[in-house]
Amino acid sequence: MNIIFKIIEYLPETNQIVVKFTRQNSAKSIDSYIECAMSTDSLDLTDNVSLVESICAMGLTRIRKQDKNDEILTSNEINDISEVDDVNISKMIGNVYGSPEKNLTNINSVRLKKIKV
Amino acid sequence: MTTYNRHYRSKKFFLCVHTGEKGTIGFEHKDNRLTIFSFIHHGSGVYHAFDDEGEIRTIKGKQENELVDLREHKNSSIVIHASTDYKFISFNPWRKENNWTGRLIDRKETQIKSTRLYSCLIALKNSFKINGIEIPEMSCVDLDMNREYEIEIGDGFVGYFEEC
Repeated sequence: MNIIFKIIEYLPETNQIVVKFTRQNSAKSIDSYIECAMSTDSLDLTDNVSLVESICAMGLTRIRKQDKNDEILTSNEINDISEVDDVNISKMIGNVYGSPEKNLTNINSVRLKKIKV
Repeated sequence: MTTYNRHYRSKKFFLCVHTGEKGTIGFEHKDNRLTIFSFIHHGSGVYHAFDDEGEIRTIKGKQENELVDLREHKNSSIVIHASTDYKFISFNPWRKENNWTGRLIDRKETQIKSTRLYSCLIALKNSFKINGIEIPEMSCVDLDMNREYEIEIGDGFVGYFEEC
């Protein structure tokens, strides 16, 4: 996921910027999202890359909220799946399945090795 | 810093392997919590379980190679504080409502038989033998109901789990 932002206004007298955030692959334009103000005092002004990354970091909570609240297309809705059921790829054809990104990060999920005796 | 670095899935349960450094503090909300036993591979730490009445229960996991019984706290949010570098392996049924028993097999035991519909042995640390077959660490054997097996635990630590 790429986080993008657009600075709408710079207020040097109050050390603030007004910014809009969204995910780069959002179904809506960045212009359609509500802007927010943030203090430049909490940004990393070392260089441009640091500045951009620090603005993105500040927007992360907002992005997660957008991600949660944005409407999901009916065709993208996730079907329920049970760990207990037997795997049957044929049955899965044509259905949409998914997993929260947090479940995939840093976790190596493997099938427990079973030995028949 | 904590690392929840491996997740072993099985049909009835899953195991989570957590490793981390001394001083690590971890949190788990009751809604995400399925752990009913935790094996301390090495290290030590303390679980603080918060019940709905706001009471806090403290469970000390201070012995290496101990299987800590956390069944009583499966509906509690918990905070874990590690007092040394650690590795622990948690046993989690997929269904919270199902009841399980669990214990480590004693080294003196040479035979095992389960009367339950589902039971299994898991090599939590080192390997062990069952009916002459070596079971490597982090592998599992499902036991047939009412069948007697010969076991040699050796220097292994073997979890015996039965679904009630």
